[in-house]
Amino acid sequence: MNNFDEYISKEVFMKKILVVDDEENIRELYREEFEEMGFEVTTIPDAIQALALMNTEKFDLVTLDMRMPDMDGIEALRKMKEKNRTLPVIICTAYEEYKQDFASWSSDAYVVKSADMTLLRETVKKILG
Amino acid sequence: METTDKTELSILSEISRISNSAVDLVAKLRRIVEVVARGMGKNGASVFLVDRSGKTVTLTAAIGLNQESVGKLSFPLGMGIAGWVAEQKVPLALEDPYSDPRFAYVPESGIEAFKSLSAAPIMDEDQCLGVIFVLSSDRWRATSPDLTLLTTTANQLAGVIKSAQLFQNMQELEAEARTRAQELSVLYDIGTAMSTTLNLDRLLRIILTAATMGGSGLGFNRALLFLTNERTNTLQGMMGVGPENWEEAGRAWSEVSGKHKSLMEWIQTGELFEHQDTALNSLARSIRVALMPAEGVLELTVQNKQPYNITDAGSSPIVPKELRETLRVNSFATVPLVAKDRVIGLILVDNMFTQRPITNNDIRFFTLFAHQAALAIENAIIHTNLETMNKDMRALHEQLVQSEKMAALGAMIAEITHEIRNPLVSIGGFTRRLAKKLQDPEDKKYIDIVLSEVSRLEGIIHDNLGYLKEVTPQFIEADLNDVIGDILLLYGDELTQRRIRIEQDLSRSLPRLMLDARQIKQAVINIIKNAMEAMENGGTLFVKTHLLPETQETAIEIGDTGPGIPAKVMHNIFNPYYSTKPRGTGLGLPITNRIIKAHKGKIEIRNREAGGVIFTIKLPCRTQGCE
Repeated sequence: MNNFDEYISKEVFMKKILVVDDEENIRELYREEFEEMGFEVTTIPDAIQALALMNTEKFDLVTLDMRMPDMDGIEALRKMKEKNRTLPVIICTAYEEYKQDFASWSSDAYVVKSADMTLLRETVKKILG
Repeated sequence: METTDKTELSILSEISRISNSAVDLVAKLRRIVEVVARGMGKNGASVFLVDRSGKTVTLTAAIGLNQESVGKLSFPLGMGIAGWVAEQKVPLALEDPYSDPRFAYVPESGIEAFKSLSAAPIMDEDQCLGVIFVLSSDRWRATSPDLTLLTTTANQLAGVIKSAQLFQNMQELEAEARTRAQELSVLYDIGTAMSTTLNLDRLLRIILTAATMGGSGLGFNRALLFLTNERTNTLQGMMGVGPENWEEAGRAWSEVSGKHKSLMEWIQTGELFEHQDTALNSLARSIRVALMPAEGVLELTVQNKQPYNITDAGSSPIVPKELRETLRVNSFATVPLVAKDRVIGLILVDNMFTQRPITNNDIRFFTLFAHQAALAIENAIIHTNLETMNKDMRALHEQLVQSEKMAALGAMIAEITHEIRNPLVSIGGFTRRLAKKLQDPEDKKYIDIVLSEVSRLEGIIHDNLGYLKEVTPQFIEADLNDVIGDILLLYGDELTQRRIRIEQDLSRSLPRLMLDARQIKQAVINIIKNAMEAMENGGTLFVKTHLLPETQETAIEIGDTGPGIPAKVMHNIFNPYYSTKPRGTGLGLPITNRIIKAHKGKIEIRNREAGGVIFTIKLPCRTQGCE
């Protein structure tokens, strides 16, 4: 019963975060941090794969890196929003410049990557509760 | 009659003999009149010649008359017996000339020694070359044979005179041809000399030396060269060559005549280019005139593209008093320098020391010379311009390469900075996670050190990126108070956490300003960060905006209650290479300074009387003025 309850809670109540970043260490770090917060985390190294995955799985939040091979973060953001306007996307990048790019304003938050994860964690908490 | 025939023959053969002699025409005529007088048994004879203009007839040879009158006594055609005969072209015999209305009595001629005369025109086809007279001290009625004899003599004379005149013409032509040939040779030498250099300064020196050189030069005493400046429409004296005074003049000429140097030799030995700093040179350079209005001789030379020969500067209306006093000569000449129909300047010459008058021939030759000089000068100027343009282009090219390098460097640094960020995130993130697992306080201490260094690195990256960006501000009309408000909102939580109170005083009557809101925010944030660091244990942050109508500026004041800044530090506070911080780059305030400057504003800092520091930023209102 416990396992089943756990399973149900996990499946039904645990929010799912999709982390999109081309750097393995970053993906690992984010996974650990978000799982610690109680979320289910899927990590994907590039935007094309991420978009494909979003067709089959449902996510509650996406963190998106801006500079990735194959597809630009801005384009990925647009495509994601086209699929699902209500899906929250946090732009999480080493670059500050995109903050001024109005195209990035359709994201729900813009967090500049930092060694201090506090801001990112708080932003996620704010969006997902 | 027999004797008359014999007389005629002997006169004619004498004249023939005289005409073949080698003496000049006037001497021949003198002998001829003697022969005629003797041959006709009279004691007076004279020849008048018609001058080149054909309008007067002048006494050229005489026997029995006052020799002083020879060459001087002349009549216009139609006046006096000589004039009448020359005009009418018929012989005339007068037994009593004094009663003839055509007779013009000239006492100085000595004519009163004679009582009667006869005259015949000296004809060359239908042109009268002169008149021959026979004068008798006794009363004499000339007979028809007398007149025939006189006419025959006159015909003979015509030949003599004509051939003499032809010979004289030929001599004159030959002399002129020789002069021209010599002039051409001089011009050629000077031309060759001018072509040895494209350097304007050297060229001008060659030109002016040629103008003042005797022998293979133009032989003037002093020469000054002026060039026009199209941009300012003025004429500027460029160089002057010539001796300063008599002693120098004498010395220079004896030197030159002793050495017999040609222009090329002067150039080759380099002597020509020495002693440039003469008083005359300074004098030339001190002369500058506006080309409009063209009233003085210098401007007129340029405007009318023609030479001027001033023989009396004192009375000439086109010589300004100032010029005359500067030049200290009374006569001089100017010739324009014309290259391809454009006047580029002029040369002024004078004969201050020799006082030799400048003739039309001098001007003519000088003009030829000036033409050549002008072409050479134009070439030199074009060449110099090309060189300058080349140099400028090369400098510009260098600048471009430099700024490209800088841009590339900037891009590279930006790229590197970004590249560093991600690893820092990993290092910091995982180190933190590690910290949670550690119990040992010593281990935790090590972790703390790592984390603080990571944080420091992040700070450096952030500051570096900010400073590297040479972003020109994008000016958009904005409300300054809104901008300040945004900042205070952003930092509200942090300030509260640091126990810093905010005291606001934002004026309501601020005009809207043209500013880059993002940059201004950055600038103010840096100041606020500085204030926060100063107030480690809390304090008050004063923020005030107000208008300064007298100076048309809007002011932002940010003050703190920290310890204040020592004078030495204050001096360097905007210097990016000076930092009192043990950590961080200290680039915040230099960035602020940059931003404010880019907005054409000012930033000041002073210590508050109550302690702490006040930064004052002053931004100009829009050009229309503060409303």
